[in-house]
Amino acid sequence: MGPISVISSLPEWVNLLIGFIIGIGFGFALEQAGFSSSRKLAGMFYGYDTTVLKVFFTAAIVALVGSQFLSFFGLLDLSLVYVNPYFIGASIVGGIIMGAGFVMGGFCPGTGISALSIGKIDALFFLFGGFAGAFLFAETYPIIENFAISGFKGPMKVDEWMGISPGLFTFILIVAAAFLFWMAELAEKKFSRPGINSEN
Amino acid sequence: MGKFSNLKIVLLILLVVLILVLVKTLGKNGFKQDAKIAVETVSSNNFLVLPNDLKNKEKQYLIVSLDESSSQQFENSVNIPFEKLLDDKNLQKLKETESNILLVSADNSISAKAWVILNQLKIRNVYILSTEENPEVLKYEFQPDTLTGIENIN
Amino acid sequence: MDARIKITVLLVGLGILLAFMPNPSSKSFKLKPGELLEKSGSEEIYFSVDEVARFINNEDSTVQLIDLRTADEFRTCNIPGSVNIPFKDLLNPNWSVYFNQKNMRTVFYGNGDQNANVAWTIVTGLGAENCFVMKGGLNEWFKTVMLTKFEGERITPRENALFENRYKAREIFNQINSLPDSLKTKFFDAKRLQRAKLDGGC
Repeated sequence: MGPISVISSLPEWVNLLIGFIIGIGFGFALEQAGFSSSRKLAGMFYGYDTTVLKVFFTAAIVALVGSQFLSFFGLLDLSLVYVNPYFIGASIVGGIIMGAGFVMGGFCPGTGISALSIGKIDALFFLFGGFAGAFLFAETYPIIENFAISGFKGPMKVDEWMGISPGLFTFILIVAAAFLFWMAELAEKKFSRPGINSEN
Repeated sequence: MGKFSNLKIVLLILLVVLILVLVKTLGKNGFKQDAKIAVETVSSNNFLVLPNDLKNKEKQYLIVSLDESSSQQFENSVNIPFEKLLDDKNLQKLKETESNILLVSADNSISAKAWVILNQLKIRNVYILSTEENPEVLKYEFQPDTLTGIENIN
Repeated sequence: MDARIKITVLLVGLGILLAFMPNPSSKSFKLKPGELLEKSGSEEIYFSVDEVARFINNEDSTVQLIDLRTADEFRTCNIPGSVNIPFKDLLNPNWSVYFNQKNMRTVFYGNGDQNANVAWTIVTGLGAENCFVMKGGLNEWFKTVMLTKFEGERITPRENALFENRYKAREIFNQINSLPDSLKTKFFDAKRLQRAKLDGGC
């Protein structure tokens, strides 16, 4: 199961089983946060429901804090954790496409699957669209390859770029998160749309 | 009051983590050096003493012989067999000496391994006596043509 | 309200703790000094050049040879099937996948004994298992495997097997190292481990 040293000597099937159980946990968490509802997800952009921000930001912070401590106690080898390489142009364009799709469709890929699992038909079509998009990318890759790999900066980390220690960066992020959540609550009051979340 | 009693659990968790972190940083009579330093020192050959250089400078070093043959070769050396390198009294001698430490052994491998261990325990100024002038130079030349074979350019 | 305040305080507290913790970008040995000393004192970490020759002859896929010399030296000649990790670059995370193979034996060699033993000690200290050293390095390989001839009138079966082993490895060494560069790189790439990349996504 990843680079956690004490567990890495387990047989392959146990690793896969652990992955499966973690997946169950992830889907459960998404569903109980209400992310199968496209209205809840789109609410992030219209301002009336900021649950997405809170859940995902908290998850990121827990992961940050957890991995820092595990690395400190020698249980996790951070240099083995994969960091996505940063391609400037591709990130921006991909972000725009994903953002537009998120607001229009009301799902992102992970929440789309959790919505499909409770039987939503619009999630099914959303996922079809997702597969079609990925297929299109693969088929047209020779044409867009130059742009897709432009601006390669390697696996950049923000704390390295800022020149501060990862611990300090985590702390700043936590404080920023608390501030953002407070702002989010204000926004919810301002942009509220009562009744939007009732499904009828 | 209800709020604060729940906060106690949080504070307890923080305290436990704090104690664990402190124990980890202050404890450990173990390896504390950054492994990078060992690689850099060896790459730059900064830890080698060649036999010729040693001739006039023997007095400068605390000579540690890691096996029998070397302790006979260097009469005023301290004999610490490789397996006993980390015994308390030996380690203390190495940590407390003010002169540079020179590890000698009949086999280059043994001194190299001992050097890495001492280096990573943050013991400074450790050198090894190289058994030959250029330990990491290839003494043979390879001829890609299979007809001519291999020349010994030594 | 209550749970949120608890969690916020917990996370902020942990964050403050983290802010004061040292930057963990340096790597120090995971093994305890006594353990490393014991492991490095054992004779079992060494393979002789004849044993390595046998691995080459049998195309033993459970053995991975690591050449610690510079890229130029590697290009001139190297033991077939070996991967080049210049000693200076030993701690580059890209190579760490080679050192932690549970089902493979990793054998280090340099021109002599020094770098291979240092590399072995460092890598084992950092927690890798199944690592070994080819005793004598490439100098010993040339001296023994490539250049020895049987001299004498009668040969015992054991000597016969030994020299056959050496002659066969000699032939493979000469053939592979005499290939033009383009074919050589194809051979090496085919033998190289493919590292699986995990891409995250949501």
